[in-house]
Amino acid sequence: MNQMKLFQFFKIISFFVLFLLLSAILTTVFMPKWLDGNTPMTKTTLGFYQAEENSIDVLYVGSSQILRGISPLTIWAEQGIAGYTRATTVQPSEVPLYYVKEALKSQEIELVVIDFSTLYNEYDTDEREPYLRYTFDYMPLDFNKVQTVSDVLESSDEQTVISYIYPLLRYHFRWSELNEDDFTWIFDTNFADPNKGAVLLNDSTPQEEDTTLMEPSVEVAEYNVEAYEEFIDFVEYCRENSIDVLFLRMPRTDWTYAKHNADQLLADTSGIQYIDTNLPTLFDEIGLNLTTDFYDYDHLNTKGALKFSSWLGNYMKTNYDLTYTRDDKAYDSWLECYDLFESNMGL
Amino acid sequence: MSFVSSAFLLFVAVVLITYYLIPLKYRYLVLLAASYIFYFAISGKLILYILFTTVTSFVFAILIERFSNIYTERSNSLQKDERKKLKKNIRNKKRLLLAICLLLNFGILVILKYSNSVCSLLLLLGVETGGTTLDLLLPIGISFYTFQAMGYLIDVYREKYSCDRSILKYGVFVSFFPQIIQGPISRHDQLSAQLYEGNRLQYKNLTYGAQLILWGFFKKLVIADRANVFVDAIFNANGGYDGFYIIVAVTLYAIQLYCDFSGGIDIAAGVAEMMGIHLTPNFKRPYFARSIPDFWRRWHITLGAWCRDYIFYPLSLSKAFTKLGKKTRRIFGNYIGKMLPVMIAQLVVFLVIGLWHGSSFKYIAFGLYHGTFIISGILLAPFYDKMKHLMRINDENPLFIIFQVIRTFIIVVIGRYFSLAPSFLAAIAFLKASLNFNPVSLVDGSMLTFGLDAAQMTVLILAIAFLFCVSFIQEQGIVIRDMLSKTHIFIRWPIYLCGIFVVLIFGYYGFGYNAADFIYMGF
Repeated sequence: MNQMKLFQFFKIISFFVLFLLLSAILTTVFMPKWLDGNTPMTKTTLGFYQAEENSIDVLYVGSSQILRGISPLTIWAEQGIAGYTRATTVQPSEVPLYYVKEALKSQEIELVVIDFSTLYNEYDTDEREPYLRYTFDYMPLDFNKVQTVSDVLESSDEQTVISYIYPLLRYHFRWSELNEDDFTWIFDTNFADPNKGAVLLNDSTPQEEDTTLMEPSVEVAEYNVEAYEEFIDFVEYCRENSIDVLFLRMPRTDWTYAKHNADQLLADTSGIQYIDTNLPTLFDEIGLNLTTDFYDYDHLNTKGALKFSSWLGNYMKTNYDLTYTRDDKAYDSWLECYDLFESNMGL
Repeated sequence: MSFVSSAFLLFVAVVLITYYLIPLKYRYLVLLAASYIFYFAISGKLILYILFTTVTSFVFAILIERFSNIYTERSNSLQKDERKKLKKNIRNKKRLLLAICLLLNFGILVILKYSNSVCSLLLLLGVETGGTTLDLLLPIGISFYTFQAMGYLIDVYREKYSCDRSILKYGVFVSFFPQIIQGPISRHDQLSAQLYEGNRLQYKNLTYGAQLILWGFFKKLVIADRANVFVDAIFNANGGYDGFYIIVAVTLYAIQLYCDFSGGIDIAAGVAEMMGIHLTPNFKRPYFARSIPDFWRRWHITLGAWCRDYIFYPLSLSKAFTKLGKKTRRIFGNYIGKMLPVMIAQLVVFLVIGLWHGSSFKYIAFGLYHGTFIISGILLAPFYDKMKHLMRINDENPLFIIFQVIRTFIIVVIGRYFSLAPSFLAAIAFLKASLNFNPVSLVDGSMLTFGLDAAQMTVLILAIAFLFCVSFIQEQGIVIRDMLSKTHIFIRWPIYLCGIFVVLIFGYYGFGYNAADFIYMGF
């Protein structure tokens, strides 16, 4: 009788294993493949995990301003600093810490450059659901992911943590739009991202300058309390792991001096370096042109991103003692990527 | 915590593991804790109502039984006259206790369920109510657990069985979590022992229960929630559509309602079965019914049975009705005279069934609509028999059966206008609009503009066809789960896995989909 029960128990376990195996295959088929266009987040995420161990020294984390405005390849080519962008549109405040924790599993990060865009905004989790998907869907499933997702979804009415653990629950509706690529994609193994996580935008929209916004004042903008606390935790974690933090404000035309003051206060409290590139002196030093260098009011375009990256690379080189990898043979593939990048950009 | 949520499945998994880890005699405590946690999760502080019903019916049942025992103990030592006197005295006291408890509990149900309608009616009649409505919150499943607890009380009053002596055990009977949302309305003598004694872990119970849950998910997520998109689009358009649009929507609603309600019951029964508890069946393929009485023997069986045992029989067998029968026999002849009390009792039952669904006049109309068919069936039975004899129709002729099934289905679908439309007048308006046929609308593609495109509609039609095939096989007396369990594992497992993934992939759920609540949860 006992043997019979053991056999039945074994049958149930076997069935579950089979179910999980099929689930994994079907999930891979049903998940959207973001490989091209302005949001190739499948490629940027999987590409990060395909990077050689200990090949990345700088992590650029944050929202779309970082994603669109920094070219890690340009910085590497000009200054020999190997970095990777881990940014997603409207990145929730819990995610930078999560990404850094994930990066430390395979990389020895020396510096994190962060533009913490949610510091002054309320985050509508359900409205931002597609961006959350870009942020989490191709990340490996582990406790860290589950913990971060459940923290982010605390304010959600419509989303479930299980749909991030088991994405078939989210993407099952794609049954009517599956194509050949969804099936053949399972056999692809090379997801290396030649742009090192950056997604630059070519279009240009001339911007008008509102000089009143950045007029010096003593006003201090109000923080989003949760985001503030997340930022403090993030800095603390980096400090514990001997990682320098460069708190950066990317160029945008809607920035205010009150927010600059609040940023500065936060940086001083946390004991980290802060640079606001929206200060007129810095803006001019970078050489940005409002007519030609912006994609929209809060994002640089490719031209702007290249100018900005040159300036940022130089700044990092001057102010941090970062590993120089430009002449390292192990980075030959980066050189190939840069050559491709140059030809694509027409540089 | 909806039945069709990952949270519920996780909850069930935790309850199952805990249930089978605890010693047999304490397993009912796991069910009690799980039931109250579940009810608190879905109802919050409204849990007080179910506590009230549990405590009052428990206490009153004990008091009623105490009086029954007094009579048994004393009657042997008494003379006939004294015994009669004591019997009458005891009966009056028992009746009083029963009436108080019924009034308290049905009173709460009536106040919570019908106060808004009564206030609106009073306002219409010009009576000052001090406010438009009371807006009282209706605890989930109140109609189900109140009927179940009151059934128990009446059975104890009738000395059908002894009352419970443990309020913890009785608490499980009233609140058992799989059936608290939408039934079935179980009977104490059928359910309590299974709940109280604890059940051993059996592979068959686990697998059969899981299969039933999967079947419930299929009906709810693949059919009901998908059909709901079309039905909602038509009936929320404020009378913008007519003809086949309405006919297709109401027909789909009839299927949706069945899949929604019976799907929920399947999930409830499956969860219970995994713990070795077998709930009373609530459906028996109602759309295969050959007549309206047959339909009500197949649809929401436990409510019908409750009404039969606690309303129909007491009424039709009461002294007043017996006298009425005797009198009317003299006037209308033997058949009608004999049947008149039955017909009146039936009408009352269907009025109650209508009101059970809600206080709106449309529900009363729904009940009376079905009641009318039942009564006319009784009245015209001799005529039908003669006609069948004259036309030489054999009751078991397949064509005649098909005719009867389709006729009954059409009658039921017409009745659905009342439950679907927002009001009685709206139902009449929809009925009228249905007659404005335009056959082109069936083929011009316009049916695919109500939220279900061609692919979604194809899935819906295929799923309904599959449901029909399964129901047809079951109708032949074949138990599909038994049949499957005898097949080789290489056939059986792919079928199970296929079933799971069909639900996962083709289910109408998830972010961006407006998954509908169970319809009967609202009752």
